[in-house]
Order: sequence, then C-alpha cells, then structure tokens
Amino acid sequence: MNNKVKIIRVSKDMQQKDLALKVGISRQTLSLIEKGQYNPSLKLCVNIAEALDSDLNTLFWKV
Amino acid sequence: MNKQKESLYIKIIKHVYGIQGYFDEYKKQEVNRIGNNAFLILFSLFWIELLATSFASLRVDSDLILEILICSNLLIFFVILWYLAIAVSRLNLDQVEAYDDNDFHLKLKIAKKKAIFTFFLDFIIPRIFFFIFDLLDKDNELSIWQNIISPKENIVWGIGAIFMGFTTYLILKSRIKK
Repeated sequence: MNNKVKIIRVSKDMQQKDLALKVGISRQTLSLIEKGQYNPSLKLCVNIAEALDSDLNTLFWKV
Repeated sequence: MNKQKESLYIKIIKHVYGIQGYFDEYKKQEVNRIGNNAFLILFSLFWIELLATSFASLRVDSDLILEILICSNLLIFFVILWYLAIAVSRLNLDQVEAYDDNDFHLKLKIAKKKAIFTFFLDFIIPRIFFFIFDLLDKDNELSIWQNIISPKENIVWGIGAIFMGFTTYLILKSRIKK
C-alpha cells in the first residue's frame, strides 16, 4: 500500500530510528511500511499518524 | 517510547525463532507464517514416516524399526530447525538494530559477553557429561582427580569451546546493523 509516511517524516526532519522508537516498532518494519511492502494494522497506522502529528487521510488515503 | 514489557511467552518465541529487537506486528505476522509452514512440513514428514515404518514393520525386525524411528525423528527435528533458521535469516528478523555509535558499541559488548558465555557453556557442559561417563565406565582406571585435570580432554574441549565462542561472536557481530 502506497503512503506518505516517508514524505511527512522527512518534512518533520525526523529520522527513521526516532519514529520507530516513538511508535514502538523496529526500523526494519518502518522501512517496509514506507516502501509499501508491508500493510500495517489500523492501530499501527493511528500510532504512526499520532507520532507524526498527522492524520490517517494525509498519510494513507488515496496516495 | 511505546515499548511494552515482554511476556514470558513472547520471550520464548523470540528465543526459539532467534528473533532480535522489538517483536512488533510485522515480526508477529512473519513468525505465524513461518510457524504454519513448519507445522505443515512436520505433519507431512511424520505422515510419511508413519506410513513407511508401518509397511516396513511387516518385513523388517522391530528393533531395527525402532532405530529407524529414532533416527528419522532426529532428522525431522533438524529439518524443522534448519527451515526456521533459513526463513528467519532470509527475512532479516534476526538482525540487531544499532541506532548510533554508542548503541553499536553497547551491542558489540553484549555480543562479546554472549560469546564468552557460549565458550564456558560449550566447555563446562560436555566436560561434566564426559566426566560422568568416565566415572561410569568400568574400563576407565583413572581417579576422579585425574579425570578432572586430564590435559588431553581439557585441551580438546577447550579448543572446541574457543572455536564455538569465536564463531558465536562473529555471527552476532554480523547481525548488528547500523
């Protein structure tokens, strides 16, 4: 599933490790999500959105 | 940080599969898939083993069947272990993530400690076993003290343990990803 996680993360000057630690997932998992190779659960999507001060629409909807 | 304390069940799963770092939902999903595949392999192999030994028991001696069963069970066990190791390694689930230089050195230190622990474990446990076997062996005329300080045994097992410890260190080091 394509998403804007990487774009938003970079725009907030955040490193992968920081976001991964904040959300409580491994850097590997975050990397797979950003590449669209792993579809996260809704719970994880919400956690990522909260960690990036964003919302689900911006990050995951119709990218 | 959103990290929760791991339950004993999660710790056992991580230890059995050799998974490092957070046991997040991606790793959980992959472990479930690998576990299912392992079960299917196990089920198929046991089914083949059961059929083969049932037919063989009509013609072959029962003692031989028992030996074949023990060997084939061991073989199946190692096939499953091999599959788990390959599957986990291919998905990089066994990689240790280091976040910066300090973290990298810390994890290297942990790897060294584990290697030293492996060295002691691989030296002491076989030595205890063989010490007991030597004591039970009626042909063995050496005293208890001679069995303990036997230079040949200590050197052989010492070299083996050093090799295992060093290999463990190299493997653990190669898994640390900066």
